Amino acid sequence: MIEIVELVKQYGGFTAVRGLSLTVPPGAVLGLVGPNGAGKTSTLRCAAGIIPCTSGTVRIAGVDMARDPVGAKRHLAFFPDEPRLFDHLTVRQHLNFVARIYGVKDHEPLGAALLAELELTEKADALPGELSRGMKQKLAIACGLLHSPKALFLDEPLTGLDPLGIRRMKDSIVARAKAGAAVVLSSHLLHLLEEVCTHVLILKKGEKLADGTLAEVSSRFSNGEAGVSLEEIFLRATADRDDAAPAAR
Amino acid sequence: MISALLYLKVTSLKNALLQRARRLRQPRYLLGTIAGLGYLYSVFWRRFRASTALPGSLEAPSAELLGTFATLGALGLCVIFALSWVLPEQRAGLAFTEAEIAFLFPAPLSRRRLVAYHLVSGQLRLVVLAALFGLGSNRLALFGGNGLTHAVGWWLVLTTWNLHGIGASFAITRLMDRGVSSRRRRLVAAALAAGVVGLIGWSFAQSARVPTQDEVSDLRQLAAYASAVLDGGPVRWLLLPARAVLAPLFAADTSAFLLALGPALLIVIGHFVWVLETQVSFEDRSISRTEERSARLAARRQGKGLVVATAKASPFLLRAEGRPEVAFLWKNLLSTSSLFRPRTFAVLAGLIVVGGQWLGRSPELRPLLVMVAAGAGTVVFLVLFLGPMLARQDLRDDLANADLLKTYPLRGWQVVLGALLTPLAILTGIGWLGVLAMAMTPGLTTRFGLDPSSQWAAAAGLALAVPFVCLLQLVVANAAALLFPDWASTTRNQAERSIELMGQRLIFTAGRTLIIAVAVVPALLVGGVAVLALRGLLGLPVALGVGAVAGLSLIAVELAVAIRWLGRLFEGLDVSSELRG
Repeated sequence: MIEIVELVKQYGGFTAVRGLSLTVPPGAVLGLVGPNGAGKTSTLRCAAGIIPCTSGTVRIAGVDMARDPVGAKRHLAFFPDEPRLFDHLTVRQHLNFVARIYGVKDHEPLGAALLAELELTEKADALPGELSRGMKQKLAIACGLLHSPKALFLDEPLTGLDPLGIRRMKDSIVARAKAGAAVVLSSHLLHLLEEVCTHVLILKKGEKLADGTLAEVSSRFSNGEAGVSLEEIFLRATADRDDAAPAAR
Repeated sequence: MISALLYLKVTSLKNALLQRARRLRQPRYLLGTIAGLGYLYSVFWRRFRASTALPGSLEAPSAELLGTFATLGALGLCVIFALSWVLPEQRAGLAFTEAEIAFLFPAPLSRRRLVAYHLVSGQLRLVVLAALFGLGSNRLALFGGNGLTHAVGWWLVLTTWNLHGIGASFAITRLMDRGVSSRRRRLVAAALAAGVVGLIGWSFAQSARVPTQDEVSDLRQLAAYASAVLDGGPVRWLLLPARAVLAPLFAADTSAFLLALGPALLIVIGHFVWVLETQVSFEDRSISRTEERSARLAARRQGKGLVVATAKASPFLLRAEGRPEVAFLWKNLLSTSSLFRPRTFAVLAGLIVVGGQWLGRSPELRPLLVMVAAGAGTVVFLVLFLGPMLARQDLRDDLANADLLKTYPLRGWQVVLGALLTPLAILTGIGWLGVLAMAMTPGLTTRFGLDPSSQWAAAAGLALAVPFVCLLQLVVANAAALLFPDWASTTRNQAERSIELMGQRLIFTAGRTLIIAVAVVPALLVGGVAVLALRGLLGLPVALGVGAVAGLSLIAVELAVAIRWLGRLFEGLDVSSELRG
């Protein structure tokens, strides 16, 4: 379960996120969408405890991030858009390191299974510099999943993946959700969200314009039309006319 | 098209200057500029003024001396020209920026225009360099003339050097295109060089005079002798173009400078036309050269050298259970040389013990042992006072990964402590080896007026101090990186060179030194008082030990408090770099 209540994030005088609240139950996949500068990455970073919130509450699996950041972080995994890896550690050594940090007992069979699932077994002794962009992304994912997190935050997870990699990533996200993880992902690829997400939240200038299941958000912006795509909904929701009065739900 | 290229250069330069001016609003750049300018004034300008003010210290060179300088300079320039024909192994490639390649290579521009653009672009750097050289040579009164003639003279030399290098690389590429191998080219170049050396030898033989004893013993006279030899016969003609290029720089006065300017400019123009008219493909190599340069710059911006990572065996077995800080030690050791492993240190310690005992047994080898001890003392000194600045496998290097580190379920102080362990372990290992080598030197302490029996006690005290002193400095350096991440990132940026950055580094170093001094002084006082108080009661060796423990205990408390505080700083660190600064 991921719970965010009245999250505010300011950088100096600039407010990136304004009183955002959301709840993602186990098994749900929430798609965070919005134009550039909407506050998606700030929201994800605050929720993952990477940057401090200016105000508001974040709870991961019931653990308050402000009160017990270590406890909350034990249950989450964050996947940035650009995979962050250590230049001098091989694929296997990355898993070894993460296992010690999270105290994952018997990590070797778990790691081997993850590498097999992500087709990295043959690259187990390769350094990040020897991996393609997609493989680096897969390694970052393997590191994030090793401790079986209950909450996943993915920032533009499909960047740099080939079509097969995209398919596998979608399947992986859905599988983790079915296994009981709460997932929040931000992406500009709206067809991905349509395929993977159970819920969607539209952000603009740090404010929530709409959220709910895909059907709920569609019905709100479809004006009674049938079969309106998420892309069309997104464009309608974030059109300039909404600037003056964002529709808070 | 030319106007577009000119617009690109002028606008880029204007914007760069404006950006530099605008960032002076930020205190760190303003303070850095003031400190940098102050430093430059004290080091260069003030000294130059002082040096010229000193009567008779640097009198104007005589015409004879100028002639000697010019001849030797011409010989040096000829060697540089020759090397530009011998050294290159790859095809010609011009240095463009990534943006220039992206925009200009696909643009409807002729090859000549691209080359001309490159040459003109490089002029700003050469003009600045020539002005600086001119300032230096004029202040040092190395040549005749004045500051302006020196600057123009340097510009002519640098431009010819640059153009000749490009022209030679183009010519070599043409030879490659015609199937001439590098080996064959070098053989021909070597034969030509041998011919030139033979010519010089022949000139020497023609002069029929060996240098006198006075000439050999006096550098100035020897230079004049060499100049006289080189000025005679065919070598004179061989050096003529290079002499012409150097003539404005060595002109004794303005009229001589103006007379020399024409031939030098003709040579520059000749080179320019040669480069422009040589039809070779330089694009492929330019692109790869730019990519290499970008990778180098990116590495330097992160404060790293361009080190190619290689997979290494784990430094020790890392189990999944146990203190997470050890995982950082394990990870960061993997980023260092494979030499920094416990086994290497153990082997070296064994060698020091065995070698020390062997040297100590032979009285005739004692001087060698003292030399080893002196070397070891230098190592310990460098470890204590320079090591923490060089060993950066801590948060200073890992700050770029702060967003990843912050997702780990660890307290901030655990991350900080874990990050500090690797440089601490490496420096302590090296320091202890040095202390061991010093301790193995018999009678070393007697040279400092201490009892021989206190040698091992002093060594133990020093060994005990090494990790504390190193950790203290590492903590201060990491605190600076966490407290002022923008300062740290800019001072770490080795790719940028500017006065304000130099000033920022100076301020950083001064602040760091002050804080370390403040932290160490109480410990020194406590330790010193303990030694003085207990010396008579327990004897010097025991008093030294007690004093070291007392002083270091105080530093240990300071370190524990500081690491906890750094942990809180790390937890509060806002890694949203896109909105920082």
